[in-house]
Amino acid sequence: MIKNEEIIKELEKNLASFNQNQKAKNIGLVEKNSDGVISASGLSKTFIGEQVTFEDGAYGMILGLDEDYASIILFGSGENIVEGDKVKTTGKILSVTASEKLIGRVISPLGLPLDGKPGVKTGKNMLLERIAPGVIEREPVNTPLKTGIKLIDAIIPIGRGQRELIIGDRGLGKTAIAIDTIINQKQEASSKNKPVVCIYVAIGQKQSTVAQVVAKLKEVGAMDYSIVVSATASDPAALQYLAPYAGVAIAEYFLEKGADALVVYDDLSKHAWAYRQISLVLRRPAGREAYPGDIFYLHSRLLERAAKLNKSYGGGSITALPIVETQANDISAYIPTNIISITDGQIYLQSDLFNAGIRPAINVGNSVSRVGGAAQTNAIKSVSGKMRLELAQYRELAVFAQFGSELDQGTLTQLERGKRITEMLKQSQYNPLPEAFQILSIWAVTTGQLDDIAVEKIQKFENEFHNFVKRKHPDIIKTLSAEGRLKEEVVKKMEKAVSEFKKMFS
Amino acid sequence: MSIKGIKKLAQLTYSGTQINERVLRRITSKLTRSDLKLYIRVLKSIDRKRTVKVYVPNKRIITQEIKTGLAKFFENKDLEFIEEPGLIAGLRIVDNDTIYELNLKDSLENMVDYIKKSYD
Repeated sequence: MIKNEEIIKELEKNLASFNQNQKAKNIGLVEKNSDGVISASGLSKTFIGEQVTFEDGAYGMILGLDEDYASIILFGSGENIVEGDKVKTTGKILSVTASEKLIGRVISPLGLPLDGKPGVKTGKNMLLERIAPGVIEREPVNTPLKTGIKLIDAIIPIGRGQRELIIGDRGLGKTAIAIDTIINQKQEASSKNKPVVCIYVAIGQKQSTVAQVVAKLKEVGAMDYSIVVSATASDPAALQYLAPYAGVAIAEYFLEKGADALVVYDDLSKHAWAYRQISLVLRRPAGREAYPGDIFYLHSRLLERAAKLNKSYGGGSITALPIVETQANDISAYIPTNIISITDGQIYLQSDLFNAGIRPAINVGNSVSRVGGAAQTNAIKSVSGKMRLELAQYRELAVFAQFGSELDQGTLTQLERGKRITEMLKQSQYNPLPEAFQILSIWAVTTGQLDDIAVEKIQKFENEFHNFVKRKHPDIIKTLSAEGRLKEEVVKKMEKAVSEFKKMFS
Repeated sequence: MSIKGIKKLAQLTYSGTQINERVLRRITSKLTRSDLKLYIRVLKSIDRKRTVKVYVPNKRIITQEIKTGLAKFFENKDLEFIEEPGLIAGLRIVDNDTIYELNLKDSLENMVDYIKKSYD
């Protein structure tokens, strides 16, 4: 039982640091409340982005200033706010409290807990809107961010600090690629390197989908280095609009500490919808597809915050994986083209490939990584260059082969090789592969070691071969992981291992 | 009528600091319902800008010295003194959309907020 004296002492101690700072308050009156957007008169001293509070405790943010009115977006339902209610400025710009304690948590864009655990009160206040790091602070992308997906790591590599768009129709595995990348950070971590801090931002998604993602991350132990920021479809448009900015603000906290962070924005099409809704309610002029004029800036200022800082600025990085959903494979729509032009490359998923059983359904022709090549290790670069060429030749020849004309032996060999490469690049979900095994698989298929294996047995061969090498030749894996280049002795060992395994494989 | 036009009419309604009743009647008789609503809102806003409301716990505490001091501070504005015992002590000054809280009630409220936040 606490004594009264102790309570009083504690209160006195607390009040000793109380600073009664008398400031003039700026107030306004609610004139209109429509769809989560408030128009208020007064507020002559407010500024864009300032946090404001209402009489009933609700709060919002100034999004537009007019001659007579200020437009405020609400962070709640705002059902109790009526005409004539007072609205007060706070002098604060919207921010989120970031700290290491957020790791493993599911939070709202305002930093409130959504996982039933207590809120994180201590930490650094990170501004939601901030200017991206400048040219002086940056350095070119030079460290790989491995996804664990063979096709991506080999042909469309991603570097730390890069912005790589994942684009495709619904249900083609866009989120799966992002989740696999998050899961892979665990196996890429070592005693020296901590895993990349992963921030998954769910925008306008179903609650059930977010719950599934969180459950999967928990199941594989990825929540130990991940944070989920969620603004689901049932949340106000204002929260959906703020979610990606909250995600990147948290990532910036880790960037400032010199750590590497990965932010997944799932997805920016819904983010654009939320902003379109707000803009239309604010009566801003509508442009193409009814999006407001500043829709490009909305995404460019967000994605510009992804960066690789140089050593003198801590050497941290923020890698961004924005996701965009297309309609009927149309990548020439407004939002997709905008984001394609902002990002440093895109991974394009196609429904035809998905339906043909090629998963991940990545269209190699339309996918590109503009800067990731610089971050690739020499070993994977040496095997992937050949594969890219053979795959391109195969695609070309496959079109001609459809006409059923007679083909020469060389063409037939190329077609068969292409089929095996395609088969080998198939990879199941939540099963990211370490780089050493990726090199092993790609090397085997591109050097023709698998030419005598039936196409339908390629995946079985690959799995069993990996296990065989792990068991019988662990030195190959060790060398490939440590050295980052394909030396002649290793190649010889690999050749020996393949021939040994082939004798056993039935 | 445009907002600009309505604002101009509202400005013309005033002769000095007082509303000219004759002009007011003339204008209101010619405006549509929606324009009239806007006109009243603009008049209110002009009035708010011209008047400074001073809330005090007891009117007896207002000395000539306070009145002169406030009049100097808020030049060209009318001062209106309103009694509000809830303030306990001190003043609350409302100048259009700016509130100066210089009273005990606000200090106590801030203190309670501060203690609440420190125990969250």
